[in-house]
Amino acid sequence: MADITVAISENTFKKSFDTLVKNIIWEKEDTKDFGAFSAGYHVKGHLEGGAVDLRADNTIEIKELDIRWDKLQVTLGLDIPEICVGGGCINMPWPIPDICLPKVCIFSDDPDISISPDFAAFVAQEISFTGSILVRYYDASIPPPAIDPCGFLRDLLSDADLIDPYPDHNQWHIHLDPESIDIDLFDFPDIVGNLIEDALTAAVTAIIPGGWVRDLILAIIGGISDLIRTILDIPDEIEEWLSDLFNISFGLIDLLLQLVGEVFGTCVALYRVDDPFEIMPKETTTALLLNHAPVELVPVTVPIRDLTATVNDVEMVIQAEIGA
Amino acid sequence: MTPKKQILLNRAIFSQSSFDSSALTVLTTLLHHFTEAGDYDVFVRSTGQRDRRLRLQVLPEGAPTQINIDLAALDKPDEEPGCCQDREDYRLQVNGVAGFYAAQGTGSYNLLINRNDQREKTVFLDSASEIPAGDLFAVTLVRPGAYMAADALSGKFRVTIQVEMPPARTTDNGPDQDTGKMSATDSPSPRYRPDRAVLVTLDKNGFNEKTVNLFAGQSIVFFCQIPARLRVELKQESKSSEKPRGKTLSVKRKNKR
Repeated sequence: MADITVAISENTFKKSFDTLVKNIIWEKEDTKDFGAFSAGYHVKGHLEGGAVDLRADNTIEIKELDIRWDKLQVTLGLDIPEICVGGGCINMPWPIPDICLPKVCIFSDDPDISISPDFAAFVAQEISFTGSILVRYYDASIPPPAIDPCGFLRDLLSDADLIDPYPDHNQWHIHLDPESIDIDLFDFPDIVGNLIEDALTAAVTAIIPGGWVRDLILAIIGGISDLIRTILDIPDEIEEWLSDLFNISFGLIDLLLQLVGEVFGTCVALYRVDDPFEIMPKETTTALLLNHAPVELVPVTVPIRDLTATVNDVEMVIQAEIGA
Repeated sequence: MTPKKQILLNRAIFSQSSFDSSALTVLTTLLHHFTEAGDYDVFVRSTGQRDRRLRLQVLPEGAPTQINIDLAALDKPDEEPGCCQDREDYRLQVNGVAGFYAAQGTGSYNLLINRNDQREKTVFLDSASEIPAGDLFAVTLVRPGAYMAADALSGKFRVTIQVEMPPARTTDNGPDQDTGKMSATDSPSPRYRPDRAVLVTLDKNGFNEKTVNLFAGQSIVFFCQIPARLRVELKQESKSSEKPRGKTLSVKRKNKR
């Protein structure tokens, strides 16, 4: 029979979980070059909500944790191809060879255009996961690993203090280790495609003179909409292309999966128990000596052994032995 | 993101309305037909810039049959002033064609071509005076309207060139009724191609065409079978190429009481 048994109700567990979730805020930016265009992102997000369900099979289900984007900025840079007049070849009678005329281009160099719309307001995602309780023992006498396994999270999380440095004393860490994670993919609505097309059209139009000159240039490039689709190599709707960019090319889904998995499962413990555990704090008393001189009493601690944590559909139960 | 490039609009393309074979500018190309193998000097004279000398070798075989030389690209501001900065050699096959054009800028150029491997310097081309028989002069017409091309040497041969805006691109289904946008799945009409050229021959009887029709951005190539000096001028601008007027403000004064 365990020397210590602590029961944490589902409600209390939810409060602990909420406190942890509230502090998970991430930010990342990157750019990729795709040749004719470049695409980058600058994202900032946090988690909200979520329902906690302690289950009888010793697992915990976190349902519908909202991924809230504070910033979901996409930067698209397009390299407009040559826009030229003239050129072409003519059949000539012998002995003159068939001749090809030089073309003359409208811009001195291939112009670049760039847009950076923010689509945070248009994206809503949820993440749910089921995990089991994982108990780890941190031994302060063992040197920390050469490579910090949570190092990438420190760079990613806006509040890097969420991940504590390695403690200088032994501890038991209780983690919620996600085992299966369901995450909504990025799915941009139609309006996003329209916004991108409108922004790119405005950017292209801004570099082209007006009047008949614009009409001629648009005739040569086949219309801005076609030009955009050709440069971006989009066979379908722009919003679907953008969803693929976020889900696959940018790797943001993988990033979120790794974030959730590592934060809960490895880097941030739900509960920490010191070993030895202080059961009575340090105290200064004047009741011991006849002359009532103050006497400092050291804290009373007990060593904790064989700590386990289990879950049923009502509470989480933590049990441990006391002793050397 | 890489820093934004400084892009310049080639305004000369849209502003030019007259062209002359004796003064090559943007949108014109003079093509000289080299019929004899040998070593040639090509002197490039331009307004406001130093003269250039290009060396051109015409070989019996083993060389390109056409080269195009951008005269505007020859000028290097950091070079010392003075005549005749030699440039690298060009090679061309006998019976090949060298095209001289200006890709940008407002300069005008004329050419003098002679052989430098003979005691007597024979002038094969002096474009300031005339285009010899066998050469070609190409003009890319961008501004919509009615042009007149004439041979200033004979003074009597003319051809009319009608330049129109290219047709607007349409799809089979037309634009979406609600958004006005074309769907990616619609199949549009072929895209307009400016790289189409029309050949017109000038011989002792005149031009072989009375009227030529082009779309804006396409080229007309004059094949001169007699010595000529060609001028092409915009006679009547199309309404669509006029400068759009600003909005008009109408104000009515109130009657004072």
